Amino acid sequence: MRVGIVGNSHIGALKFGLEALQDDCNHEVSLWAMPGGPFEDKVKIDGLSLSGLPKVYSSSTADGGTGEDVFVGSDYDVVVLYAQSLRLEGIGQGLKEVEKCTSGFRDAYLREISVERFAFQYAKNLTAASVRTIIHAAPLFGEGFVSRKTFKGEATEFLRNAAASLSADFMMQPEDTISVDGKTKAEFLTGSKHLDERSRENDFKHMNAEFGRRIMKEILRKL
Amino acid sequence: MQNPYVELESSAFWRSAVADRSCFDVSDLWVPKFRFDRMPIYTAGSCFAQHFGRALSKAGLRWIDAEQAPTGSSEALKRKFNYGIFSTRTANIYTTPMLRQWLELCFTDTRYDEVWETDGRFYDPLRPMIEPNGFASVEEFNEARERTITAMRSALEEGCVFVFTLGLTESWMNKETGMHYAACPGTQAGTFDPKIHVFKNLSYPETLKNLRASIKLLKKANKRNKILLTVSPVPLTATASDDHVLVATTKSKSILRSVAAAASSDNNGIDYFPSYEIITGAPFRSMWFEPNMRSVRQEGVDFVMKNFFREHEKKFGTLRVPKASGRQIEENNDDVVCEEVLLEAFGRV
Repeated sequence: MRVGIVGNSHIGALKFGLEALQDDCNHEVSLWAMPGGPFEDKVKIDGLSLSGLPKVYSSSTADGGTGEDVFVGSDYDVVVLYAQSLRLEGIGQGLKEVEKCTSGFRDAYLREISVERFAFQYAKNLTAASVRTIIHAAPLFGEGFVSRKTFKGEATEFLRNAAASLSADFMMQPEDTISVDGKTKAEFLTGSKHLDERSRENDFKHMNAEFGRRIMKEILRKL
Repeated sequence: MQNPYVELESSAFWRSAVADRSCFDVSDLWVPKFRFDRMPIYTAGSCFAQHFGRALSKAGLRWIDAEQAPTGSSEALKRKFNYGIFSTRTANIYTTPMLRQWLELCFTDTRYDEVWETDGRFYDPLRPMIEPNGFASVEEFNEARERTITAMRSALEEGCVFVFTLGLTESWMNKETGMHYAACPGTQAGTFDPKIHVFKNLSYPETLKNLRASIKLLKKANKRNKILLTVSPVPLTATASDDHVLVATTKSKSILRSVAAAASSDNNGIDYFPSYEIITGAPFRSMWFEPNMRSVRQEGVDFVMKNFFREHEKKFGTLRVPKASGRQIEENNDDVVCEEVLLEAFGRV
């Protein structure tokens, strides 16, 4: 099965995870990523194509850097839209705050944080062309990260329903990677990887190779 | 002493202060009475006040954004629903009776309960365009109004510099209740009824009286509150006064300018900043206006704010930017939100 995974800097952890699973992976998986933001300004949707999105890794050659920068969804049996604009903490916080707003604003806002987002817009094109599509949430902030935005189950349900409305599947990180206070467990932070393979101190947003392995394993299991 | 003029500064003489200088070098137009980097800043008033809020926020000062849109809202969505335009979602407050009414809602038992209904949607006569399609119900209208009042009250009670841009003297009101509207009924929402909706072109005493009543309420909220007045340089979109719109504009702005002078004279807690003069003054040859001679170009706004910060620093030294500054307003090139401009739709070609 040909699997195309599209995302941002979080693809870094998946790359290392995929390398670790190489021997157990019977699928042809390629990773496409545009790190840094704003993603929407750099990557453009044209039907089933995404332009300005470099291919960074292919499991078939165990290499990337082919110079390709146009992702064509119809070339794949399954497309996974990973992490981009899909941070559960922010969506959860927004869902809480919007309760105080008028119905007119609420309707517009809920559309904006779901079906009007980049991943959902592209997912709509893919599912309309019968390409199986999985929308995957970004990793939750790591333990130790102080934020007023915390993970709430409502956000998961909201995104799952939004994905279902487009006939797409929704996934988030496995339960056992989440701490009791709704953060990614600290063990997945150590040695966290960006796409540029550098680790940064006090990075509570990007996860390590083991996290990437767990995510890839779940994605492959879902296929 | 030969005569009093002998000892005056060069800024008192047209030749030395204006005629012999490039207009870009005209300075000392303002000597601020108080600092802007020690207190949060609340902005309200007509369209031009929006520029102030943006510039103060960009400079890192504590611009108050007391009614924030939910996390993750796009700038376009915020603007559509008037979040982050003024310090609270009052929309433009063009006249001094409108300001008084908002402050009465915050600090007195006075209530303005009138609601406009159009095609099953409900509109706030104090801010008809605050929701692009009106409110779904009267209950929703009341809740939204109360949220704005609560946010405004809280911000003003905590203490701030209240920046208010005087915009218009022309107003429409309900002659039965005395309520002033943000717009003529029937233009943005509501239905015009000539039996109860009357045009009012506020005189100098009426404008000043309403401003003084507003200042009293602002001081009642917190006696430390400071007030900075400006006059919008933006001409009227339309006049209902029977005068030519240019004549009506001059009359209106003259009254507002005089009222600002009267309110700020001999009061250390109330200042006037001459953005009006910087944009409309003869030395500037209308260069700051767009070709329609109404909208102010961004360069004009930047020039106004450059003067503002320069004179502030001249008096008080380098601006002390607070560490925990208010949320910065996103910069964009969109026009400011100006409901009055909708009147253009009713003009004959």
